[in-house]
Amino acid sequence: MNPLDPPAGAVPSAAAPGWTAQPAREGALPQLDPSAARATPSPAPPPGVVARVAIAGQPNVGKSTLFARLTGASLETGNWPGKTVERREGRVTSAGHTLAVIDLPGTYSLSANSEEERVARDYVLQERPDVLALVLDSTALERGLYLLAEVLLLPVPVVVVLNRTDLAERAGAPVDAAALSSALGLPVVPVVARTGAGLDTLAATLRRVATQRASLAPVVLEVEPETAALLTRATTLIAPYVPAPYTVNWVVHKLIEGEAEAAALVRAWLPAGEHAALDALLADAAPAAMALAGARYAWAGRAARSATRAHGSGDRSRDDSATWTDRIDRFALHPLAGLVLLVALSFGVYELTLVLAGPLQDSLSTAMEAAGKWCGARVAGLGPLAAAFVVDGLFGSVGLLLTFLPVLAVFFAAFALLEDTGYMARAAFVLDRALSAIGLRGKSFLPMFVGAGCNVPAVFGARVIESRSARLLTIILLPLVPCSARLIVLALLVPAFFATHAAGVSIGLIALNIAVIALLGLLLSRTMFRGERQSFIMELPRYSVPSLSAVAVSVWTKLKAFLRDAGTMIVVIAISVWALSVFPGALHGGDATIQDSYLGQLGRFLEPLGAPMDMDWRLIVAILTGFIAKEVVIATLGVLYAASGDDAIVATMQASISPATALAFLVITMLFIPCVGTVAAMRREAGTRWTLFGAGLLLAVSYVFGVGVYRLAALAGLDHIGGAG
Amino acid sequence: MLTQLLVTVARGGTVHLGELANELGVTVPVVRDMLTDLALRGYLRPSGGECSTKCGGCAFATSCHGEAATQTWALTDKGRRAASGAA
Repeated sequence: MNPLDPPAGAVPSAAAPGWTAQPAREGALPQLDPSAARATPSPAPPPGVVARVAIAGQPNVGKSTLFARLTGASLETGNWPGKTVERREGRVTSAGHTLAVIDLPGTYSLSANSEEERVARDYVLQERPDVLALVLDSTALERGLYLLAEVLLLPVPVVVVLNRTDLAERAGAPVDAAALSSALGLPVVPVVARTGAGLDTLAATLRRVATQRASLAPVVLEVEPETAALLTRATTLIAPYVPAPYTVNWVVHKLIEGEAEAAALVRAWLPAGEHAALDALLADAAPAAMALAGARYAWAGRAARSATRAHGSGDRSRDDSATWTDRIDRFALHPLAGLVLLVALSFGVYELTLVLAGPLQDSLSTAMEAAGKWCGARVAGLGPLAAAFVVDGLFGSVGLLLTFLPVLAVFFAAFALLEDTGYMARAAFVLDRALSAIGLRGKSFLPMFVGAGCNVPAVFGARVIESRSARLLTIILLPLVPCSARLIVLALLVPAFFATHAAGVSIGLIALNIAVIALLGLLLSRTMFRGERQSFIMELPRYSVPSLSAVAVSVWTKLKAFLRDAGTMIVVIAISVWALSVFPGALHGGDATIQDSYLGQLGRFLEPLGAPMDMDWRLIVAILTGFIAKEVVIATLGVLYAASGDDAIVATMQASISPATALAFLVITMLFIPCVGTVAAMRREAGTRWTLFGAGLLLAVSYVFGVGVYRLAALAGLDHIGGAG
Repeated sequence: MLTQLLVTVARGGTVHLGELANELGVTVPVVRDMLTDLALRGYLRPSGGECSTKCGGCAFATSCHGEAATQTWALTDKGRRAASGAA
């Protein structure tokens, strides 16, 4: 049989009744035949034209191309009366007969959600074309079939136009037109509108169906008995009052679906005495509306499968043929293997950041220091304060800002590369299930991991989390991820105090941070940041080869944005802290010493806070200056303990600080606000209020844990100088 | 089928369209349509996505193009009632 011809059994009687409940094919579900009143005669076609054809379809199925190919030079455009929607008309001749063709606006459904949908549906209802050609995209068959299920409620014979059959073929999922025709009970004509293939057959089929008016097919929707009962009640109620050109079946469906327009129409038709019955009917309609739409999706699914199964394409979870994407996803989305891959990639990004950005960071620091000294020498004539401002204040702060750039550049590049390949969505998906226990979203995964390198990009990275509560929670917890600067402080101070247990203490301190993140996460996600339960439904893009130029543009754009947004604040705060550390001593023209500075005074003022940990003001000031950047802690300790060189600091401190105090100091350093850059990023992303809350929380947590650890260490007898041996 | 999808969404958590498609026996684009359908009917609403409103000055603006492909859905009151009724 010619696949273009509808099978013999596909042309049911033109005298199809309104829908009727029938014994179900499967289980006890009744079947509904909504092929209502399609035998109603159409208005006569214009002179010289044998029939009128309407072309309908969803947007982007190639409908316009098909229309242009079909009608050629006869195409005329205008607007639908009273609408801004374009109206296109033309003519097509087949075997000496001329058909008038009208292009209806592209619509996803016929639910009057938009002007286009209303235009399309009103045209069919009021004008009654002799045949409606519904264009379906062969590569997205099921979507189009849903629209068909709705179209078949309208009183018009339908011919299904299967467009883009070449693309479906190429994608390895060809549609069997004959099988589809069998399943639908409608003529199905495969075409390629782009090349014009199949259009002659289409014109002939349209002419035949329009003139014979013989193409009626029942759509079999399987619905639960309650829905069937409601449809019966609605039909019984309104059938006597529905005027032409409306059909009972269409009105019943629209009524049940809760369409306000249909309800208003029915209310106007019904005598006042029936209004209460109508209200009672509509009050129960919501579940039935869902059931009807669900039944249409199911019907479309069955029909699509019957047309593609013949070609052996069974997997329905994909957009197209079996691809590399499916194969990689079997691994990347696996609950265990996916996590392993994620950890490996994150470790790779971390390593890459250290390896590539580390040396750059050092050389930038050195260059800025040299530039500062050079400029300082140029302004030395203006006095020591001016020189100090240039060297330490200006170049110190700008230098600090610049040292962030290599880390950010590498991070942004890695991020853009992973994003471009399509992996990021998978990573977020895999991690989300693990992190959801502490209220964090998977999307925050890379910032958390890369946070081990630097908290600043991590806080910016939290931007990709949609839920406000999850985003705030992530931003507040991120500063607790040990950054590389804090690891440097650990690397220097831990071996000095705990020569025999350095590794254990370091790991313990890092583990403490992770434990605090988990603890606070659990606590906050169940109290303050509870948020509503949401379903995170992800569309996983296909994997693709990343474009290097796109990555470069992305890195450049993001770096510029960082300099503009966070840069200014970093420089301002860093200069402020520098000023606090040199004034008021610098005003008197003497050597500006930190002991007498406002910062020193603040340290002494806060000394009582350090008392429970036997911590003197110098350690407190060191913690405070760590706010500029964690590495500054080492420099401050060096100044305050009057030594030069890292090893010498250690020796001096060992002689004046007990291991218990050192532990408390390290715990606070690890848990306290990481640096001004992070705070600037937090303020930018979460606002001042939440930044203050986050900072206050970190302050409280670090202090409580500092004191707690000191007490525990004291119990172990480590509160004496030299106690760690 | 729509009710089944609504109940799945009501469970919360993370799911990708392919999984939903397999569960419901439809294709990925159809799941997308069904979610939009549920939103149009007032059972679901897209949530979050504040990212798009602040994108202008964001260092991660270009990463946000994932927004279009990743949607967080929350149930409306109507959706919650329907889902608990169906579950």
